[in-house]
Amino acid sequence: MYIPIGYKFILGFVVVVAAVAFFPFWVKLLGYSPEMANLLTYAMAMTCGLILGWIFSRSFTKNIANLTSSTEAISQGDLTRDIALKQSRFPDETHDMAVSVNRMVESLREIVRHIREIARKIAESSRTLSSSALEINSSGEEVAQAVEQISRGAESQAEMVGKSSSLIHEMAISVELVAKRARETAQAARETSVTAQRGGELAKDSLERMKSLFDNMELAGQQFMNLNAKLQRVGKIADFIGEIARQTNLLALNASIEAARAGEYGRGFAVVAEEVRKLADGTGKSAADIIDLIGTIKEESALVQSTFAESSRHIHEGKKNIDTTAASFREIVETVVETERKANSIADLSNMQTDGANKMVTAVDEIAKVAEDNAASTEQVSAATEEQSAAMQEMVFASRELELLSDELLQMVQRFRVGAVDTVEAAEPAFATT
Amino acid sequence: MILRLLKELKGFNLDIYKDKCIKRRIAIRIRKTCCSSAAEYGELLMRDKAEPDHLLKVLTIHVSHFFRNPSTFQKLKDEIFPYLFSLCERETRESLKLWSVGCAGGEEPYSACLLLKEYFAETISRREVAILGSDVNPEILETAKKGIYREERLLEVPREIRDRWFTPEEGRFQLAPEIMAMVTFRQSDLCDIDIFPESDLILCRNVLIYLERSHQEKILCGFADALRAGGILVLGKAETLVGESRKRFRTVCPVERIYRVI
Ligand SMILES: C[S@@+](CC[C@H](N)C(=O)[O-])C[C@H]1O[C@@H](n2cnc3c(N)ncnc32)[C@H](O)[C@@H]1O
Repeated sequence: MYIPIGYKFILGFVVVVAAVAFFPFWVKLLGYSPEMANLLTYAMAMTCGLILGWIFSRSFTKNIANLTSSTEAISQGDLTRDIALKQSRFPDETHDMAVSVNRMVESLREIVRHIREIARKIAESSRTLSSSALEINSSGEEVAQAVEQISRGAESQAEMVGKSSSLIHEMAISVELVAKRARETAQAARETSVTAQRGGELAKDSLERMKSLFDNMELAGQQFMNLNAKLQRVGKIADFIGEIARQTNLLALNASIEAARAGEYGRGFAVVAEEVRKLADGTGKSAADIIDLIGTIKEESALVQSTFAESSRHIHEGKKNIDTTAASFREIVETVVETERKANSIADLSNMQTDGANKMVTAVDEIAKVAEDNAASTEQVSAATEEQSAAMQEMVFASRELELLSDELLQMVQRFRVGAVDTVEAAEPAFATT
Repeated sequence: MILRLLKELKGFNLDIYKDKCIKRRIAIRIRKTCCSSAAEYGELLMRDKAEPDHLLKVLTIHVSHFFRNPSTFQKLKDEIFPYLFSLCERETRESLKLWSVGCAGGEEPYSACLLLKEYFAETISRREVAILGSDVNPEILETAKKGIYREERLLEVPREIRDRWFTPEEGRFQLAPEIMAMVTFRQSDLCDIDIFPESDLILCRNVLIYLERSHQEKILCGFADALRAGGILVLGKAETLVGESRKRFRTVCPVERIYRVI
């Protein structure tokens, strides 16, 4: 039966009052003197009040002491114990209080458990966070290294492109030079070819002239030969005439002798004969002259003949030389034509090369642009990774802070012992090893 | 629109940056301020006095660490510094001028200092070496002047150099004042090409990656003008000479992006 403490006191008070009311009556029955009876009555009433008071207060003092020690323990952080009051037939507010304190302890326990759990989780998460931030940071570093690598590539690419483009430029210049020289060569070859052609023509002309000269010479030689033969005959005739003149001389001599024999009659005849002899003499002399002349002519003609032969040999040789010259000219022309053709094709080729070089220049420019773009992107990436690493550093910092805070929190709630969780905590390592 | 606002509010010119980057950075800020649209954020930007500064802070990225790309510093040590000193000798200049552009937290100029201190101690005792670090962001320059770094920024510092020049302090490291005294820091924008300081060596690494090509070209030509005869330019590993500027430099090392002005 529930009786509030107030009622209990009122009840006690009523009992004491009743006792005080009834005791004089009982005491009177005992038959003491009135003073004595009065004293006794007081004593009995007080005793009764004390007994009742002791009975009542004992139970709730105990309860309150119990409660106080419990709350003291709670304030010390001990949440392990519930308050257990002695079961009473007449429970009062102390019992109510015990129940609600128990409830409070229970919810405190709950909260502490919760906080501990959460603090532990926070610590764990922040550790994970900071370790993953570190991990991200290190992978960021790797990215940065890769980017550096790429950028190095781009840089050397740019370097090469620079070199290539200057090389190509030089090449284009030399190609241009080659083309120019080739064109000049072609021009020179063309001129040479014209000259050589003229030379060839001249040689042919000379050859022709030479031939006709040679022919003329031959003819002249022939005619000279004929003349010589005729002169020979003339010589013979002169010989013959000389012979006749000599015989005539003899005959004239004979005739003059005969005439002398004949005397006077023969005088006329002798004159004639003399005349004849003189004529024959003259004739003989002329014939001898002729023969002499013919001799010298013969000598000279032999000389002339040898000169002729010489000339004709020279002419022959000259002809041969001119022949070779003409052939050489022909060859020269051929070679020069070939040269011109080749020079022209070189010029054409180098024109093509110039085209190619120009194309190469644009290609290299393109490559340079790409390299530049690459460099730009790597820069971008590098900037981004740097940002990332800054953010990660901040994150590591923040998560460390968080960890510290959660540690602090844990430290604070560690003061509260909650039994069940404590045992779980103690059991955890054992659990982990199994 | 936001760009225009920023220009009006802070006189900060964002045209030079790559569009994509800037958009990403602004988007971060928009999300952080829980604005639903760019327009709403624009309003906030006008309303809230502190917001433009916040935005500027997230716009620039300050990733850096000591001896970033160690091979580049190796090259500086082995070839570039000896070359520059001999150049100085020949041209009878009394000082060598180094300029680190976009120096962020000072890691880059300090790394150069450490190199000089470690390997050219004798030379720099005879010859004055002036090292200038510049950046647009004033706050990052403040941290640079303090010279306190978290360990992850020192990962590539050789052990003995770290022991010699850094003192650990509550999990961080304080750079020796002797090194810090070698560097002057100055706030300046890369856009101001006409006030580029005269230099013998310009380190401009991982700054141009954020900029538009046309501006890169202008800035690189500006560097060519700022460098004294025979001066050296070092770019970041993903950067390269652009357009006209290619004609102003001769490549010294394509891998490390080291160029000499013509
Ligand atoms: C990623 S950090 C580079 C740090 C260092 N140079 C390195 O490579 O380790 C880029 C730096 O450039 C600065 N910056 C950005 N825009 C700039 C500008 N317009 N003028 C000067 N510095 C700028 C930023 O403030 C940032 O500190």
